[in-house]
Amino acid sequence: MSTHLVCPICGQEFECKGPHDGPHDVLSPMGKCPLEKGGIHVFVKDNFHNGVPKVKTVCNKTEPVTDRQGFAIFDQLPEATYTTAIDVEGSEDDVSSKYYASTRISVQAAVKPGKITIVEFALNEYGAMLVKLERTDGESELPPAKFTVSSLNHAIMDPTRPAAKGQAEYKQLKPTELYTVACELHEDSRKNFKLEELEKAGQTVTAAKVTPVVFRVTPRYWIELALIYPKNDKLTGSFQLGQQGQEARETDPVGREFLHVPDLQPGTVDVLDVVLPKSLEFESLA
Amino acid sequence: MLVIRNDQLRAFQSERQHMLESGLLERFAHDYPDDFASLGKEGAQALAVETLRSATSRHIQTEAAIYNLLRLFIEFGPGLELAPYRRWANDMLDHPTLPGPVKVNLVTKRIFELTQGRRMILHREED
Repeated sequence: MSTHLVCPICGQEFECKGPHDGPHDVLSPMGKCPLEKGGIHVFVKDNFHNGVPKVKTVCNKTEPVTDRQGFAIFDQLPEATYTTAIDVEGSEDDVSSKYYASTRISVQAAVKPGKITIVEFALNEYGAMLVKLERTDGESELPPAKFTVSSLNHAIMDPTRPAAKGQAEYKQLKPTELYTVACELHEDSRKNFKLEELEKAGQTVTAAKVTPVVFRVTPRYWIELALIYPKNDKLTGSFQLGQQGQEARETDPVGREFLHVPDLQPGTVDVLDVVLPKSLEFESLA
Repeated sequence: MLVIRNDQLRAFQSERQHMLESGLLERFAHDYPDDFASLGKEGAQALAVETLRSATSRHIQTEAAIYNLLRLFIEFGPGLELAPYRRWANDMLDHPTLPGPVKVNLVTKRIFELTQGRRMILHREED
């Protein structure tokens, strides 16, 4: 006994002459069904070729999101060319905060009768960077500072951030970009601390783990010297200083209130000699 | 007592392998003449050998299941790279304890249900 069936794909009637005492395969690859409709399977993958779920896709005036396997299926499409796109920014937060597209996000995909066109989109996972300030002497007290992270091709939200407890975290950075990280000590701290490096260029991040970038800060030891004379408190002159067997001459050519001598070793400083201004020498001689 | 030596066992296995390969090629040429022609006899034979290797490593032993695996490979590539739900399909085929025919049937049914007999083509920018 034969049975008339309607093809679910093309709508044409066909006659099945198979045995009807059990299920049999009607989707034979040798079938004569004239497949008029095609389809588009969008596959959104990450760096590891795993499917990314919940990504908003757009095709043929519909906007489904990808399923758990990373696929969005547009079926029963007549032969034509379709604009097929993904919208990462418009996807749910757990997609838009985790992924970005570094390659194309829209294609013109041709659909042919009886064929399914696979359109693949690749997403990259964001990485994070933890910028830290550390003391070279191992002490825990840190000076106030701020960090700035910048890139030529990626505008970062709030690029300059204060170091809270000596660190600041930058999320949603792109592993495909190079970043320049800068550290700036607060004006009041520069007298007491010195950064080994002000800027680190060419920094990259990975999606696998938070990338640390460390700025090292060294405490500065200094003294301030003053030449005081009752008639004129702005005296020029120079001091011969000695510390741990080394000597250096520090000159004040303009006559400041204090002569600031930075970057000394911790410990005592000997003032070995003081050279007075010529005028004072004449005065004292007279 | 009948003793079957390892050499004899290998000879039987080799004979079975040869018969399976011939059977696969015959059905390949009959059911997918265009694919068979485009691959050529050597290419088709290489795909049949790859199917047998894959079937052995995935504990798929029945002739029908091996042929269904070949169908998947012909239509979607030996890594199922053109298949919808390729990760799921490969994971299912690699399952260590499920019986071979069950694994292949699950995968073929689900994938062919989605494609409905239509062939997959990968969109390329120059298309």
